[in-house]
Amino acid sequence: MGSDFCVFFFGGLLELLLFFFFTTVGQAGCQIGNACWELYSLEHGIKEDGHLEDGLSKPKGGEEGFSTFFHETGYGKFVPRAIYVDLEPNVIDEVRTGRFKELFHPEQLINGKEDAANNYARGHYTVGREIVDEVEERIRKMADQCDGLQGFLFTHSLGGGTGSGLGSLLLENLSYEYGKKSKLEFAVYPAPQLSTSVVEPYNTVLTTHTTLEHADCTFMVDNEAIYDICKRNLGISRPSFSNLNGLIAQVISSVTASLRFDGSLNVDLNEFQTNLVPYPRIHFPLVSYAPILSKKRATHESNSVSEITNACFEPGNQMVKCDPTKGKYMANCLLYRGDVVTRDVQRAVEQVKNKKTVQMVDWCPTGFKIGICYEPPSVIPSSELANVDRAVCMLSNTTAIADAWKRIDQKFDLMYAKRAFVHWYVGEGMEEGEFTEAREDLAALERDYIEVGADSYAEEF
Amino acid sequence: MVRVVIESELVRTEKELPNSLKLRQFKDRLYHVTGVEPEDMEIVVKRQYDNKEIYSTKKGGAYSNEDEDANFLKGEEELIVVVTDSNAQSISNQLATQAEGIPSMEVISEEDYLRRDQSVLRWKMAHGYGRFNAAQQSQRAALAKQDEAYAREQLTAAIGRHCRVTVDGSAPREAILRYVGPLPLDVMGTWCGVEFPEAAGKNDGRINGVTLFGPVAPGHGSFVRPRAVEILSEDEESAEVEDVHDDVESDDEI
Repeated sequence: MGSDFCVFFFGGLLELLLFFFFTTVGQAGCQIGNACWELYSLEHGIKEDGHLEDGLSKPKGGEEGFSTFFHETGYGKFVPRAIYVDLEPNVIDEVRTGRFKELFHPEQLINGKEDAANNYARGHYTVGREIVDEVEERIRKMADQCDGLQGFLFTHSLGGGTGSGLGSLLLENLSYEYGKKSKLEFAVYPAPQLSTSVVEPYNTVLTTHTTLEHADCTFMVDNEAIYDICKRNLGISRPSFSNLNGLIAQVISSVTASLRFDGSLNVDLNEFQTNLVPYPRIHFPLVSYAPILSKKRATHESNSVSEITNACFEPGNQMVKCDPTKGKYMANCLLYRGDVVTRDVQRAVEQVKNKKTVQMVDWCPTGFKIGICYEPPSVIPSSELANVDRAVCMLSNTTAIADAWKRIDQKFDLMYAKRAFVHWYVGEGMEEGEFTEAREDLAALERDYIEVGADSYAEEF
Repeated sequence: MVRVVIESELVRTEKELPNSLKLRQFKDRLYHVTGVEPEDMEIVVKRQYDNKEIYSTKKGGAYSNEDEDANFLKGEEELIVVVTDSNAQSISNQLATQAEGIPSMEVISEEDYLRRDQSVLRWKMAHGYGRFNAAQQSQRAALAKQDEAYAREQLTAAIGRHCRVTVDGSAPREAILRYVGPLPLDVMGTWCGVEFPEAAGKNDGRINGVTLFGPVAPGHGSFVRPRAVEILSEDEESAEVEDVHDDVESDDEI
């Protein structure tokens, strides 16, 4: 039940080795974590037991790139810089006994005994408090192993109790302890139609309020958008969580690829972050990914740079359901992988600018920022995704994503008007005032987005 | 462990549950997912692979005591649990039947927003962005005035003529002027609708569902500010037409 979260440290670029640390919290977080590490291991030539694949003398990706996400033990074994946290044992036990049981050090897998029952207050105040010191201790230990810690990457769900409650508690505490380091989140955002629990809107609003000033950049994925992509693009009639997580892992891999592989163009994540987030509260870029093709269809598509770039502007390739043609862009980053040359990218971007409605906020003039990692994407054998020569992940800070907040705020209001299930939270010692305070902050966030889009000056429609 | 898909009026999710749960514990788990009170809960449990019903509270079930083990969880790998709420007045039923799209209430007033320390509004004010950039605002107002005069005096009479469209940041494009006037958007001033011989534009002459010219082929229309439009002289115009003609021929040859 609940939520999962993983912390990743990944690092290892720049002159000093800088590292990031990957933390996953809750069920969703841990399951995504699993999918990610399976993919990363494959990409870097690491076997399930943490040793190199036969025939390799060193991991793929180059010394610095590789070490952002993996730590070498000195016994020829490589360990992910990651911690898994969940309040209940089930999902973590699966990691302990599963295919990757030897990949992780036992100290990286932390669980409590009692779950959060989908309740932010249990994750944040009662059950979560009992485990948080232990988790921070492990994080500190792992952070010390990094030669130059660059930041933290969290994956968690916003709707579950552990992901929202404990996730935000950890992020808050890390922010006080490691104020200067980047804190990035991959957050599973509630789907517009399908809820994973009845109190998802409460958990989402509460956790967003708590983390708003602590997270530097939050990439949201909405299960329904991913679900539809699996159905439409991959031809899976009833996508399971493992199908969804596989796709999310592919996207996270693309965002972090330039950190993990040496010889990439424009890899400085700080620079991307500075570009993407003009004002700290507005830190929720929309993620799009292309191509998303099933093995059957792959041979019929050419996937030129121009095609995949164009596809990023199609709603069917977005990880959150919203309509960017109705919004305004503050920034756009295109992260290419594989067989890509700069000239093709420039031409593709020019085409997009001319043909699509890409309305930029004129008072913070930013163009398209381009990154290229020459390593093509990998695909795990059980995945429905086709192997392709190139792919692109677009991160765009658009006011359209405010739709997502509007949706969840409305659901919150419907429930809170009746004080539905509020006693679950109050029963855990949370004050009711936290509901109104959080909701007000989210209302201000909606206003912020409107203000971003206000008084723009377009040249062409 | 058993993988359980839980479905109710409000929720659809997947959980990993231990096989050893008592019926009471199982219902409690479902309560915290679906919000349906255990005493109002009707449950139908089906096997995932053949959709066969293996337990239902509606048929009385085999349990006299909720502290018994939920035996239907044993020996199974994947189950579908459908939860319904028998109490029509319950909170979860009220939420399920509530109409969508109720207008959102004003949670924060204009004044309260203005009072907040951390806001995009404060930030724009502090840095002189957008409408808080006085110099830029007056410059734009002047440009808008020029635009309006230029449109009134020269462009309105030139609808149907060939023109050259030059928008900052992209190469000049040849087009035909089709429309001069306001746009059905929250933008001020006079705009020009133009039709391109190729798909060099952003729309088909419609904006926000309103047809301002055409409709032409998709991507052959755009709306630009008057200052971006330069009407071509008759000489240039015929030269342009020939150019276009040449292009078409060479395309044919290919």
